[in-house]
Amino acid sequence: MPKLLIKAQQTGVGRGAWKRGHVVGVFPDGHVFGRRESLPRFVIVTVPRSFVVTNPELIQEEWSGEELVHRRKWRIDVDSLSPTKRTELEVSGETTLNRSESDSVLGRETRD
Amino acid sequence: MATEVFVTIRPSGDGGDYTSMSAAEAGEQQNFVTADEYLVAEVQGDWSSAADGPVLFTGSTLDATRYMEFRADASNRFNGEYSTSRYRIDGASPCLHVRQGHTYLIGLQVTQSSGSDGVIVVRDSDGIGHVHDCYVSNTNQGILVRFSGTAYVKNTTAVGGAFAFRFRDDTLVFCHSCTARDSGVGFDSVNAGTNYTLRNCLADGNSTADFQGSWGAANNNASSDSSAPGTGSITDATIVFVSSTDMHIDASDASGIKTGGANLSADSDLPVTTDFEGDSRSATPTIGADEFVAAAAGGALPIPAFARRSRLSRNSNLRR
Repeated sequence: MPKLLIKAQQTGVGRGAWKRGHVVGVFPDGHVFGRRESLPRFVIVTVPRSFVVTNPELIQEEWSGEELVHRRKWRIDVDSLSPTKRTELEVSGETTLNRSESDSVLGRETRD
Repeated sequence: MATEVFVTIRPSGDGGDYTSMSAAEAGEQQNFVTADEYLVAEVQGDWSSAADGPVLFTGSTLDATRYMEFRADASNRFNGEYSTSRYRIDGASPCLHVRQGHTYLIGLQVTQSSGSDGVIVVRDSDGIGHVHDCYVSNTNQGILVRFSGTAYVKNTTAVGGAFAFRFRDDTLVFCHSCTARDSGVGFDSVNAGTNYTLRNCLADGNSTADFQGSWGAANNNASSDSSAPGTGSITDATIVFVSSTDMHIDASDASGIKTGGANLSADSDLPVTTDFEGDSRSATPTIGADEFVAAAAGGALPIPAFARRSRLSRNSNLRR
């Protein structure tokens, strides 16, 4: 199943800032992440392939003409996961979601 | 003095800090000025199995000494001929997009699979891009600077597309020792050309024009047509590369470009002391991204400077 590399904290300034929940990249099953692709910078969430296929905008930026609106159009609201899943993320930095869990935490990025 | 943060970008499972350049940009994004740090993110390892994807550089706070540098190591940097056995970025343009302060892109191979934007783009008043020793292949615009961006481009080769190098709007551009080849227009100046400096740049075989538009400071450029601007420039030159894909100047070239460049080693805006593969520039350097180095009779070829240095940084370059 694909793995989502997700920002665990907000960094940067302005519209270019990465925010908690932004999906930086989608990686194939078996991908071995680097040392810094982990807490406290990132969490890794494994999701069903169908979730990635039906949500191609996961890693899309949002632009208004030449102006960047958001680094990502969508975000994974990791804070609304179940207590069990949140604990997994806080302890190991990784968790696995089924399709309904994935759908329930996917949300549109809101304007500042 | 600012502290260096050194990270590696290596393929999956190869023991690096990051497995993609976009993850490195996201993971290291911060206010570098407040932290009094600068980033060196070096691509290492065997990337023959897959290309990396596009990267947007924005959101970090940077200045001239607290910057972000993304570079390929000796085994991955462009060495004169595009190679899929080396690290390369491929994707929809813009592939490398700078919209923040001082960001260095060094020795990278960048190709475009789709899109019509520039392949390497520097935009906005906050955008300050340093593009050194790179290779860009494009279908429309290669190196594009626009919307008040500032760009320092040297030893970079751009091929194909409608425009190899394109500078637009109220931007500030220093373009030294670059090569544009087999595009529509090699070097294109649109609008505020007085802010564009073009020195020791080489354009060959571009179907519409090698150089087009007006330029500010320009000297010692060379073209295969009559368009090379500035004093000391060579026009209507028959330029001989090693091959259609190898960007080294061939020994048989008799156009005058081998020693036709101005000495830019002490240039206050953008000094040039080496070529794209680290060979030292002579006092009368070759025009373009490659410094012609004659092979020693019966001897080994000189070892490029970058291969002799294990870790070089912008600050260490300044100290040299």
